[in-house]
Amino acid sequence: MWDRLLGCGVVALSLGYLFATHDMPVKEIGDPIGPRMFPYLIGGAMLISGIWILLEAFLKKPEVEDTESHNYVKPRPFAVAGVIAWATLYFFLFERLGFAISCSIFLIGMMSFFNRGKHITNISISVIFSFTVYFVFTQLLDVKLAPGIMPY
Amino acid sequence: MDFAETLEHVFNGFEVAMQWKNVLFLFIGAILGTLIGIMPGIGTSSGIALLLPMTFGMDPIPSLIMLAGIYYGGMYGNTASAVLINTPGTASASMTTVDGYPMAKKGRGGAALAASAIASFIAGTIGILGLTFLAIPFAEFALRFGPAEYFMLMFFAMSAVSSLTGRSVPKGLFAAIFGLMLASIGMDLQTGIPRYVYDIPELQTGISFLIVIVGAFAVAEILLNVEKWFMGRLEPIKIQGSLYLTREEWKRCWRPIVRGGLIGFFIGVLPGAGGTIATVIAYSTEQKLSKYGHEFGTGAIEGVAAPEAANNASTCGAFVPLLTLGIPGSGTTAVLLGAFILFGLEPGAELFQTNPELVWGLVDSMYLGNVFLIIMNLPLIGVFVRVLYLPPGILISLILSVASIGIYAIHNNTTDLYLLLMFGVLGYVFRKLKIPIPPMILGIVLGKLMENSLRQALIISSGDIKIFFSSSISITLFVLALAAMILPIIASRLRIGRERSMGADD
Repeated sequence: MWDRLLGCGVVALSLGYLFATHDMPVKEIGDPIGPRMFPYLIGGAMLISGIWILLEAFLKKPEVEDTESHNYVKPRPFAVAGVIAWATLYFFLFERLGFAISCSIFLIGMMSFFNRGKHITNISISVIFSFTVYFVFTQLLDVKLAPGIMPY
Repeated sequence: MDFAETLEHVFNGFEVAMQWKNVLFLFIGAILGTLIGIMPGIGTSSGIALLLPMTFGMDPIPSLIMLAGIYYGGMYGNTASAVLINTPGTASASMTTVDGYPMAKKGRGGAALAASAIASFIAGTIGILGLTFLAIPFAEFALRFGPAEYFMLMFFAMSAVSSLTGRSVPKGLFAAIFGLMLASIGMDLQTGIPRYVYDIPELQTGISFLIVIVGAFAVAEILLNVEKWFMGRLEPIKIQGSLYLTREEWKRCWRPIVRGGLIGFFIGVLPGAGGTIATVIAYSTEQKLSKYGHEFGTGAIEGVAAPEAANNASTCGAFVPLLTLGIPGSGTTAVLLGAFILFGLEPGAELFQTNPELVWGLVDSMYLGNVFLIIMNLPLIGVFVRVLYLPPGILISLILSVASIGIYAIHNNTTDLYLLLMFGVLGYVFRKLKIPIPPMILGIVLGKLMENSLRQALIISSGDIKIFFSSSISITLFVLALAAMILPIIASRLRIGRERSMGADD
């Protein structure tokens, strides 16, 4: 089921890419090969791979995941979505509050969930890590990290 | 170039490798590699990807020595988690779990770790010797390559990596082409025409492969580890028994180590094959040859020594095409090629002439690195395995913030951070759909070079595509590329047919 969707998606992506390549402006003078030739090859090859994925999805017996195997990891889409949302908020605050503060907040939030119950450890690691990294990068290595509301 | 000249280069390389700064970075790389290898869930590709942005602005020689140290150091460290918690630190240690973990359960974890470290050291040395003496013939051969041959070489590397790194050839092919597609975004440098930019100024300069690498490897790995976190932490078995081999164990191990080293090195040279395939072949070879074949799977020491030897030697083998042809054969070497390009260096035959101190300094640093690593992985392994006790929740959180620091430091731009997350999600979805990541990385790293070679060749031939079939080298590479794509399909059909006929017999 997923592979069929993937195949359709790849075919659609390749067609979109080929149309975008076709619409690309071309200069009459200069490079005789032009900027479109390689993308046309890429688009064509992607179309083939999409059709191939579809064929494989229709012809092959679907693989059944062995949920008893010790390698099996149960999907946790909500947890993953939560981490993505939290990281997005962290990046949103990155320049507004500055690296050291936004990173501390991000780490405290992450560790409060993934290292539950150890509040003192979590807060200490988060704050010490964020401020030490900020100090080392900006003061010792001369690498700019967003100061945000911090004076320097 | 004769043998004496090779030796001269080797000696000059030692002068570079022994400089205190390079030794320091080598040491850091070896430590980080060991730690990254031990921690399950962070592969060497992710580890190097995470640290790559940090080397921005540093000298190329110590940086590359450190990054290479992480690569082969990871191959030493990955055994500890395979033996002590039955989870390979990296995919190429998967075979080590088969006999390593049963050995640990029987109270012979010390012997398993010793066999692995000694095998890694001996095979690593075999691999570095192979690299030292094969590098020049390969580089001299590569001097015969023109743009058409280079295009075909990259085509071959991509088809080999696409078809061998995943379970489905079309998915691997899609991943490689998707990488090429990403590389095509941005200003076309030869005509100045913006491609697929759509009024987004940040896309004018293209998508940095660094963001794709860190996102698709490291961030995706974190998202996968979030799911693993719910399964709870695996408690490591305590290291028991001596960390040295007995005379009997050594007698059983030395031949598998040498054979594994040779198998690993030659498979490592081949694009796409990589460490995991090398370990499987080394393991099955020993199972057939050993008089203790019946013990395999229950804790045979040869079952640890052979794949570990193959694993380490394959990393040295992978440096041969990377350094001499500029072609990475795996995900990790694609990341390393990215590192070279970041430093404005293009690996290949010319690099041996223009920057021999870098090439030979890097190669010779591996001899020293191997010595550091055997020390770290024998008497000091007890210290390093303490990372297995670190709460994974803390690691997940810290790694994500390290990724953000590295990416933000490149352009001081939060758009890069959102792109990082986007490629992290993409890498996660790819992994869920069983689409291999290394071909995509290869595509984005090689995309521009491949297009340049294509255009140069066509300009030389005034647009005649026969140029791609005008030399024996390019024809051979084209045939190899097709074979790399078709052979796995034929092999899979044959296997299915055999299974069906066996089912009918039953």
